[in-house]
Amino acid sequence: MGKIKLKFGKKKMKLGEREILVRVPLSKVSNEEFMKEVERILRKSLERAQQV
Amino acid sequence: MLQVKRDKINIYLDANIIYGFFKLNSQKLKKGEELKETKLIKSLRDGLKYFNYFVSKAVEIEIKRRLVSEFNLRRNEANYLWNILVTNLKIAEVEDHTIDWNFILTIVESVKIKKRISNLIHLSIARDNHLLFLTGDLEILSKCKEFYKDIISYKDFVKLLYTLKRK
Repeated sequence: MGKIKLKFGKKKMKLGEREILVRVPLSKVSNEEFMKEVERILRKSLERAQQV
Repeated sequence: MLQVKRDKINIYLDANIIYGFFKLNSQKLKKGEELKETKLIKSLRDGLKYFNYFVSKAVEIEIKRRLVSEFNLRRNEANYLWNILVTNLKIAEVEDHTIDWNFILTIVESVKIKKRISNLIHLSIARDNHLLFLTGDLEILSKCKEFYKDIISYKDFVKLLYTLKRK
């Protein structure tokens, strides 16, 4: 399974009187996709650690 | 210009709030157990209707450092994992923050802070941006409310979420 493509954008946000620049996610990721990807990445790192 | 919805509460997530998710699941994976979404992550997601979440570069640095050093992730994997968490919880990352070192200095001169100062850096950023600071750091929770009153624990967050849901 391949990686989910994620897009981000930069926007100015007004917080009270203050205006701040933020990086915001533009894509949507479901909880299932999120957990699957966490497992995929952590599993890879675990396998790598076991090989060493 | 993106306007933050007035009816939403703006919360800054301390690194220790997110870190637990990776720690738990990496341990589960080592034991061959099924991965689990922590209660905290679930609560944050439940709260998306009521809260806007924010982090800073300082949180990103702290989490990525631990992903690489403790969980053996490569740079691109740590980057991807961070991005997917941020996307799933719709977290905005404050780009151009400064740190008020004098604020931190006042705290350490006034109360006995025994742990490292990284969480005080997060507190300073939250304060400068008028964000409610959600942290699991007991020292901050017990000693720093006199310097910035908008600090809440996970327990307080759940209570707040429950109250908002009942309205």
